[in-house]
Amino acid sequence: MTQIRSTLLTILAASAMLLSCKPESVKDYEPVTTGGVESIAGTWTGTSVLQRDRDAERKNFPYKTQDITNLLEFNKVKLTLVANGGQPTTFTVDHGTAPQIFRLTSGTWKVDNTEKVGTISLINAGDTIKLTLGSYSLLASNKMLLKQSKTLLGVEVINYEFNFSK
Amino acid sequence: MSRMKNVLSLLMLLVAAPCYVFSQTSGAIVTRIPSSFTAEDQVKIIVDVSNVPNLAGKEPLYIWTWNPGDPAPGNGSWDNSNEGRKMVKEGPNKWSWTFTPTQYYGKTPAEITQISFLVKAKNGNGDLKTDDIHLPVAPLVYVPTAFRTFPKVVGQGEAITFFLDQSLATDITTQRMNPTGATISLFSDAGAQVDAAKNVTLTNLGPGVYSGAFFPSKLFNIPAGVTIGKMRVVFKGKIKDANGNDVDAESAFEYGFDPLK
Repeated sequence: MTQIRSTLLTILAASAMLLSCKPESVKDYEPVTTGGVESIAGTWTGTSVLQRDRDAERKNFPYKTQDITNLLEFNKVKLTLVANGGQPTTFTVDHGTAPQIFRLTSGTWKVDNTEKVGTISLINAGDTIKLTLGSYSLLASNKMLLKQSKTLLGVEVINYEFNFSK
Repeated sequence: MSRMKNVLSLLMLLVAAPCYVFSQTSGAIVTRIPSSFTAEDQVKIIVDVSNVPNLAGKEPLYIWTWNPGDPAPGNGSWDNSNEGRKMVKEGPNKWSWTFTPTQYYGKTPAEITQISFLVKAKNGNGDLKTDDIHLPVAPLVYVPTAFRTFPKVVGQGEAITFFLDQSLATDITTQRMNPTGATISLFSDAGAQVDAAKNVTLTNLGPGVYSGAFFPSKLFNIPAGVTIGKMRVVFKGKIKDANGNDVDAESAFEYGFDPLK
């Protein structure tokens, strides 16, 4: 008799627990939007610069890279990219007392693809600096990598890797 | 007396004639882009013949090359250059030739250690040519040198780091001096000094190894439109004389700039 009672109580408790369960509301899938114009808009402060000797890399010579953060006083450099409605508008580069590595200090900017930016062009009076955007995953953590290529007779000989944080 | 004068005039003419012929074909200014190249690099050679009396104002001009060999299908004949050897006009009296040595000469890199050529009119008769021009070709393997830069190809818009390794120096002064600083001078394409020489602090990276760094447009006042052709780095320091006393010493190196874009 005791055994039957225990079994019934167990079944009752289990039923109560099952009945208390109710489905949670499932949230809609929200895609990650990094890589679009809005994700790179804002004021970025320089953190480091790596100078790569692409000619040495191709020929497998020694001395392929050099950290030039201190030489360029890159921690003083601020890049501001302004966007409006998902479209790039103006930019400013505040070099402070640091060398003017970006040559241009203000103007407009354009991208190759507003949804998934690959290249950024800083433009001022016919002068253009083309920069390639690094990994999108960095943007999610408020970091940005921009690369600038320098060529001689159409061949890349130097590449700068500019790292920023927001 | 008159006969004596004639003999003297003849002698003077004989002495002067070779000089005259020489001066009519000399004076070419040669620019290489990049300033140092291997047999597998594309190179652009620009020859300014403004100061070559026999070629100034003549056009078109042609390359005539023979070392490391004749390029296919050949230079043509002296009085009728092959059209394939025609140079590109870059401006008044400035002519260029762009090529990759291994492809141009059909030779292996090991066979190309120097390029020899001259610039001529299509019909070179009457010495319508420059003197012979010889350019060294850098080896494909890395060769350590007492002075080097990072990056190897530098320009006026780039961050430049330079290094001195005294163990690789070929002169006693550079080997033995105790560098305490360096001065840098920039020179335009035309050879004129741009701004005054500037001092740069050296960092001792190890025994006999020093480095310095600068950003040209920050350190120097480079007027708009001026293209820098080369820099001269002078390492300054002390060296012991025969009596063991410290005396001033200098060691200088020149390095070409390239027009990077």
